[in-house]
Amino acid sequence: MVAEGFFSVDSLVGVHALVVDADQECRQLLSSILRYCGGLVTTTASAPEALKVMSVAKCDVLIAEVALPGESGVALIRRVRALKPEDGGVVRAIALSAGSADRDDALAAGFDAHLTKPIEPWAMCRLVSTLVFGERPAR
Amino acid sequence: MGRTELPTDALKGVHVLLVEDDDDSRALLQTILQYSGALVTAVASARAAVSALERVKPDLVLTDLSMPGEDGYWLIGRIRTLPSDRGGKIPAIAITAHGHPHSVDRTLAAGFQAHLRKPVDPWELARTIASLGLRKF
Repeated sequence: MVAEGFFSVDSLVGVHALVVDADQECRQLLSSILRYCGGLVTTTASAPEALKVMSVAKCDVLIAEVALPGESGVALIRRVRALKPEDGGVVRAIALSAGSADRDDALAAGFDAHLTKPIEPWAMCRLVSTLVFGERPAR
Repeated sequence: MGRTELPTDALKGVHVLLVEDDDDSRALLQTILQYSGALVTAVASARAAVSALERVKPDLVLTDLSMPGEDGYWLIGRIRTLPSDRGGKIPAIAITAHGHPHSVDRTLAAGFQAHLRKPVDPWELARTIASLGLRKF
């Protein structure tokens, strides 16, 4: 994975990531990966909870399951993209799903990228770093 | 975005008294402050903050302005009447609830050093606190 350009274990220092996944184990797993790479991580189990977090603190990247029960990840990203920039609407966003069937819908709705479970940890961190900092992080 | 200027210990040695009535918001703000290295005492009301100030001397007060009962203005008024050796001159930052029209001029005149609006940018919050030069080590 290093050969593919994973920067370092502190690639996500200064990145506030909001993870939205209905499965507690998945939230903990994703959170531990992002924290390992230095990120500030907030987790929620639903779209309404995610929107509440975003009304309190700005996030740099939203990582959301597409198949959230109730309000889906697609519905969530549409609501996020409708926010004004000063209200957090410019967050970068990654869709998560068990397969690739809903990839196009997720990207069309406003996600910047799509990842399929099982997640490859370093690929996810590199993607987050690239989305937030560009091709090369500034450190 | 200025992130490279913000190591995770930017607030190391800074004791923040956080005052926020909403449980989820308080937990989130506490996580943000601790990420940057701050020691955080978190309370859910202005009265609880006054009680906390009788027991500890934080370096900074960070308070929501809109709280049921006594609000952030009441709190800063109480703090500024304290003698300096009991926290009367402690720096204070106000956070404005989402969508609430609070004037920056009013908060500064009330005794706050800074005023941030929700959603708070975590890095702007850390920079604002760090700019007050409160680090002890």
